[in-house]
Amino acid sequence: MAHVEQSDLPIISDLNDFDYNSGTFLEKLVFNHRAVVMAICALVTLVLGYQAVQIKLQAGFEKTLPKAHEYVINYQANRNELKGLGNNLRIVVAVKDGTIFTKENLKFFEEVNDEIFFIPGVNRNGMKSLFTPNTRWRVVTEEGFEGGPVIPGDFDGSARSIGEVKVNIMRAGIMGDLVSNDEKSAAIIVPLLDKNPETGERLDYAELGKKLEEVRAKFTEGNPDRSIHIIGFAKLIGDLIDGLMAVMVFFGVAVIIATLLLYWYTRCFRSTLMVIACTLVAVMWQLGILSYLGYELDPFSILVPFLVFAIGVSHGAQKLNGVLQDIGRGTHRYIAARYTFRRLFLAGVTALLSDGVGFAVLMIIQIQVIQDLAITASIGVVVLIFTNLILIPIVLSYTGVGKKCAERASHPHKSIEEMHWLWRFLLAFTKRGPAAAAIAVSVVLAAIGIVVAQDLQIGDLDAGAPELRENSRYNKDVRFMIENYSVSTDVFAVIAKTPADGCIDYEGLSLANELEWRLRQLEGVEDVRGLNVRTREIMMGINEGFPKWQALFRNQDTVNYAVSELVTLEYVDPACSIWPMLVYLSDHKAATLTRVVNTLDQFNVEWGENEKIQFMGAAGSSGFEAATNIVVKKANREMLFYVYGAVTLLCMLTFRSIPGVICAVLPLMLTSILCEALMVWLGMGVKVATLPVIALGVGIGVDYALYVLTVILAKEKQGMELTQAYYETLNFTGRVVALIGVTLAAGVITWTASPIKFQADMGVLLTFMFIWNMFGALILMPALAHFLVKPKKLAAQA
Amino acid sequence: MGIRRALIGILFAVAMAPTANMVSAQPYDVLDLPAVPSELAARSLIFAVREFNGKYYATGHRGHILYSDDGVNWTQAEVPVRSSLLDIYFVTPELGWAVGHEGVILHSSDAGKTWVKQYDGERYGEEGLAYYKQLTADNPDNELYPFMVDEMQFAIEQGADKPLFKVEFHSPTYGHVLGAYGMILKTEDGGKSWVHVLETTENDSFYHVYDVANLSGKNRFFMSGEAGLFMIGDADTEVATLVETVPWQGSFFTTAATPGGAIVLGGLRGRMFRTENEGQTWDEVPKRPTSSMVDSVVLDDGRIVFVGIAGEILISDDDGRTFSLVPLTTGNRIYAVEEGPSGSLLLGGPAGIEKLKLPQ
Repeated sequence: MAHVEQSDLPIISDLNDFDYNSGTFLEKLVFNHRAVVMAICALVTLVLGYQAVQIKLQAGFEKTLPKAHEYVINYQANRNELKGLGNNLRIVVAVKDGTIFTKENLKFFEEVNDEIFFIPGVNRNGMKSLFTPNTRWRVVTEEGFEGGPVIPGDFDGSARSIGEVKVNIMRAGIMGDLVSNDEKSAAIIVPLLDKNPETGERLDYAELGKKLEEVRAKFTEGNPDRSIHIIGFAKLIGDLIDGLMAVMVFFGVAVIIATLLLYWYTRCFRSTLMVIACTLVAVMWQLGILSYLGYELDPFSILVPFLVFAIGVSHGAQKLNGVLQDIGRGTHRYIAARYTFRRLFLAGVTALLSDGVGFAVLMIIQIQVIQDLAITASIGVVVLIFTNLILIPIVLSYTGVGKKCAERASHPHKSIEEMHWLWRFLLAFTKRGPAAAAIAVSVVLAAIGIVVAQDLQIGDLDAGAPELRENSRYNKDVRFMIENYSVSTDVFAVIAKTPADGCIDYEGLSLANELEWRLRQLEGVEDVRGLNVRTREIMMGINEGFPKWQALFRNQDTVNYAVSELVTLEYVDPACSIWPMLVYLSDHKAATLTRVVNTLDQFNVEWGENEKIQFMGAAGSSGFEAATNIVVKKANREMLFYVYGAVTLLCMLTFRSIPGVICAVLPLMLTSILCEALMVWLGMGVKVATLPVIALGVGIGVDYALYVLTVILAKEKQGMELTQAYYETLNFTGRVVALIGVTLAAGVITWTASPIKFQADMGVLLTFMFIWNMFGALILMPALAHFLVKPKKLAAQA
Repeated sequence: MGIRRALIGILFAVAMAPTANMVSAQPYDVLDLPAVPSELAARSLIFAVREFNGKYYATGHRGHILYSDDGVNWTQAEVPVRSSLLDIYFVTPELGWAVGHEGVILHSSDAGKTWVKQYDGERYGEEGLAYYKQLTADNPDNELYPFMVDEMQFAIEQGADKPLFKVEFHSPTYGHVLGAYGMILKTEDGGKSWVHVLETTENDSFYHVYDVANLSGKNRFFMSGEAGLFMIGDADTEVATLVETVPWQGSFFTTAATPGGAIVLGGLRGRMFRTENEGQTWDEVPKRPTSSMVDSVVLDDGRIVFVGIAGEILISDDDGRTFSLVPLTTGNRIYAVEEGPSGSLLLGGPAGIEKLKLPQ
């Protein structure tokens, strides 16, 4: 960036006058063989384009886990044994009028039940509802146990028959589980197979999601009295993939907005089209490389094409700007393109690499999606060096620019007095009064921001699946379940591990009771279930159901008998050594999760050193969220530290002036502070999705500073006063900075409409950071420069 | 942090480390660990609710003992164990006993505020063995005593695995506890020592004894339990004999002695039987099918309440001849019932204590 200078290259309108051996080695290599370069690019585009269309959409959750956190390590080490946390769907069939207990409504329920049964991927043996044979009632009699299916074999839908069913439901204790507390709906528990046993193929979540929606449509469309509600991890993934499709549409919108902006700026249809086309080529290459390397597009990495496109258009705009001005002055288009390359290639590379720093810093966060984001974005940046720094000038060397816009570009710069009021407004900040005012306002804003940001929460704050919007179909279904069933979707699974065959140990189970009871005391804990809880209940069942036996009493034979029943019910793995203690929470707020984590830690301090049983964190949605919160909280500060360290270093290398570094970095810091305040106002917590935003905001934000401040400092070195230097800067790179800010924002603002909530959050924050950083660079930076940079001193040094 | 503070921190950490080890080096044993005060105590598993001298008491899991003046606001007592406590009895306003799992017997002499452990199941086998060995030696002709010796040897192997279901005191010093496998102990010194009296009950199969009732005026006590067990005891001789006329072999969980002098047994599958003549003849109480009858109480006005585990409340106003299901519910399972203040019922269960208004 330090090399951006308006060198006074000769205006040559005839190619014969041009010295083909001028310029750098790279320039000669590229431009003297431009046809070859074009051919190579076309070939690469073809190959990578073919790869790109094959890229897969994926929305797994494992990649969002902090893989280095002990909770996730524990889960990965024991995941095969933790079957109790299986991949289930919960489908509820509801009626609005009356109850589910009419002949008609039960028949309707049975039809849905049968339809679900035949969906590929459903583990049919494990399916559980009123109409599956494994839903049984059981009572203790003097002869032992007596029981039968809840829907008896001779069920005929008569009032008597339905009465019998209702009694059986009470006996089976499935109210609130398979039948809603208000009797208006009934549930089907649908375990899913991870792999198709016949084909060995992995479960296709997108396909399953589609099938489920078909069932929903088939039975409820045109019938307002009936509704079907579906929740479960697989449905969530299906909805996220749907959301990804929608986001792809946004890409089109972003392209249109960027095209319009660029056209508005250049007023040159031909060259605008070339820049956009080359940038799309960059996106295609990037996707092709990702696909080739085996990456899939997930809700996070889909951000990268947007960023690559936006950054590409910004750089393309600059190249275009250079070519326009040269052609306007009368230089031949080929030579103009070469001049632009000569002037701006190194600057462009520096700028792209500085963006790259922002991405690279993300690698320190031990969460796969963020690291993938860092890698894919870095690939994108490298691709841009080829497409937008090399290909665009070459293409423009063939096409040139429209005559009118070249003329328009060649007009001499207006004097300060004649400039648009907006530019005069910006120039004012180089004067003492407005500069002081700008700094004062910034200080006040920063103070307010810091105060507000004290309330910044960690983690997700809204109810339901945080990935989706609160009023999404899925989250409405979640609310329906919570209101009508005794279920919670926020589960923190403590992993209990004993020596082999040790799950029956009395002392181990006593310790489990102790931990369970401590967890139950916590605000936000609604229920705790697990091997120890069920053991106590079965011990009562074994003793004819007399309540006073509902305790873990120290008769090992009885314990053995109780636990052996639970092994078959998959409460514990067959080796009798690993089981989950499920802590059902009322929400997944960070405070709730922290209480659980702290209680587990405290328990382990007091009782961890025993040979009977170990309680480890954690699986379940809330367990992972707790781990993520811990990692994210730490990474948030670390990342700021590294990103600002990198940016400061970069500025130091570029400006070789401490006041310059301060002028560049302080506006970025203001943006970071205000971004945190904005998150508080918008009710957003720090989470996986917001981490990259801050790094990207700072990494790309420093671009502006580099463009503007480099030129200001260079001009000041030449002996100009600040106002004059800034005037020159605005004419040269400043306008482009404004264009870049708006283009980048346009690239991400479409995200705010995403059905995926965290993408919308990212969109809002990135838009804010891109725009606000632009203002920082154009207003606060010159204001700071007024007080910090002494032009005379600089000139003396020069 | 200054160097001095850092040093203090390190010293503190070093000093704390062995302490933490010492805590966890001990095995986790509910008999050695005091109950922990909990907001949830009155809202979690309750096994018994009893009223004595106008005060209400409840016992629950994890060493919970609660007391209350109004049946609504409950205070948790200081208890030295975390065992599940199954029954409580106050013989005077101050003197009370509580029993439960692990064969634990607790005593309070301050109206239930604080408790000490008098006995636990670890002593049951050893003391019983010594006792019955002595009896066998003293009575070489007795066939039952060697049997008891074997039983006690088995009990030593099993450890403190047997719950005590009931406690009853007849004077500040004299009382009985009874429980699983026919376990029955007696004290005549206010619980300082507990002696075995297994040989005084005719429970040769060592069936669990779940409940005991006393007929006022008569010097009799009635014990019921597992597999149709029903024994009538003589309070003077302390000998209880098996009644073999009971027309059903299912378990009886609760026994009520009616104001009219009848005994009503309730048990498995909601079956109920009534005798007016101390077991000579029985009538099955006609009623709608319910879940198992698990507790009962005779109200001050003479009505009798039986509760089913699934949450049914049955009331009789004809001395237990017939019962009707009343439309009262706690919305949960019911494990225990007691008459509460001013025409109310106190009900205990897995979700704690509920107070319901009695129908008139």
